[in-house]
Amino acid sequence: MKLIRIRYTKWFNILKNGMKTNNPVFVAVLGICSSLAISNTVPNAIAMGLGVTFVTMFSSMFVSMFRNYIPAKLRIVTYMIIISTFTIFVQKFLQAYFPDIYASLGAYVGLIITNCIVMGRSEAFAIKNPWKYSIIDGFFSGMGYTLVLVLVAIIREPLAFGTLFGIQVLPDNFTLWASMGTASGAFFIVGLMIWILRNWAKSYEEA
Amino acid sequence: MNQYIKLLIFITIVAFFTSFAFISMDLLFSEKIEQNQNKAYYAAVLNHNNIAYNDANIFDVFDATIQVETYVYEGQELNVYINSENNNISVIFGLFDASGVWGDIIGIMTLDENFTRIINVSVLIQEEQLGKDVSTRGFLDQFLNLSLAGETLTPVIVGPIGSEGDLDNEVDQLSGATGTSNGFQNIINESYFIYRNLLEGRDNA
Repeated sequence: MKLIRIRYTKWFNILKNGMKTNNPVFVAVLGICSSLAISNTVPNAIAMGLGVTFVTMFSSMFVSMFRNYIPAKLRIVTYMIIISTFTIFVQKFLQAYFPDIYASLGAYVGLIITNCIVMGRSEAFAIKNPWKYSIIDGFFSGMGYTLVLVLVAIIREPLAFGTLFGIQVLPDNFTLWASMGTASGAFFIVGLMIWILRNWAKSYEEA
Repeated sequence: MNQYIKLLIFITIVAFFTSFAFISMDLLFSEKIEQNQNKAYYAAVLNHNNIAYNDANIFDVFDATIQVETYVYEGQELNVYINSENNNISVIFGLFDASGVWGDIIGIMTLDENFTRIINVSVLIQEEQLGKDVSTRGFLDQFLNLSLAGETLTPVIVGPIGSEGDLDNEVDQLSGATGTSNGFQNIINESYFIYRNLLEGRDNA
């Protein structure tokens, strides 16, 4: 009975939207550029996913909190300023406390600013909803992105490097697929993942 | 008119809070970031000099074994790291005009005290795409103990593949990355002359 009640709560619908029905990567096909580039190893995927989640959460929260004061004409510029502030925070935090991950993510940390998921959630949700729901929406949209990134990385990392989380998992005589370490290999995996997850989520394009 | 004043006030408030946020972030992280950067440089210098260290004692080992001298070149302070035991000289290269195809290539180069031989080279920062292997040991190991033609304009030549060994100061370029290879040759040679002139100036003074 309790479970049925949870299914009708707003936050549960937000969770379902972010993770499944409107998943930013496999349904909305947003943030594909970084998904291809950063999903070569699982630690990279987790770090990038958490970075995007943090930025989406807090930029959505701020947009929502100040939505009544943001002039319509300056809406997009204001989103950009808020998003870039949080992105620079993530960039500096990684540079200070996780320099190895920062080095391997390279320019893509700074490019969170241009990630369509962050801007998309501000414009589609945060500008119309209270901040407590916006922060939940930001969190689950970011987690939906992280989920796909990690799933792709779990396939790519062993095939490209023979490791998982940096630990050797495939025998030395296994021929590594160099293409899996590159964006072209990632295209195949992301494509397959979109097909599998869309079937799971029963998300089909109208003919 | 009233609407434009409101916009102006909004922009001013946003600019104020954003500036405050950026200054706070800088205060919060800059020290740790600088420490990490130094750690990477120090680790490269110690590795080039075969000095053992670990993450906990790297700064102590560095202070005990390496002497730091600072010079000014074109208004910029340059550090030179000298091994107290054998006088090998480690310098940061790539701080000036020379760059790769996509961006700067910055690292540490260790030379013998007479500037006649490269002991080791490490690339710490690079943004190359096709030439991203410029930071790999496979490429950089060619520079180990490489003789330098210091009396010519190109003390190091990064030449066509297969030419390694044709000349004492020649290494093979990166496959499919001629631009990066040429850039790297320029960076190394430019840094070589800058630091050699600075240190010769010190010796003559």
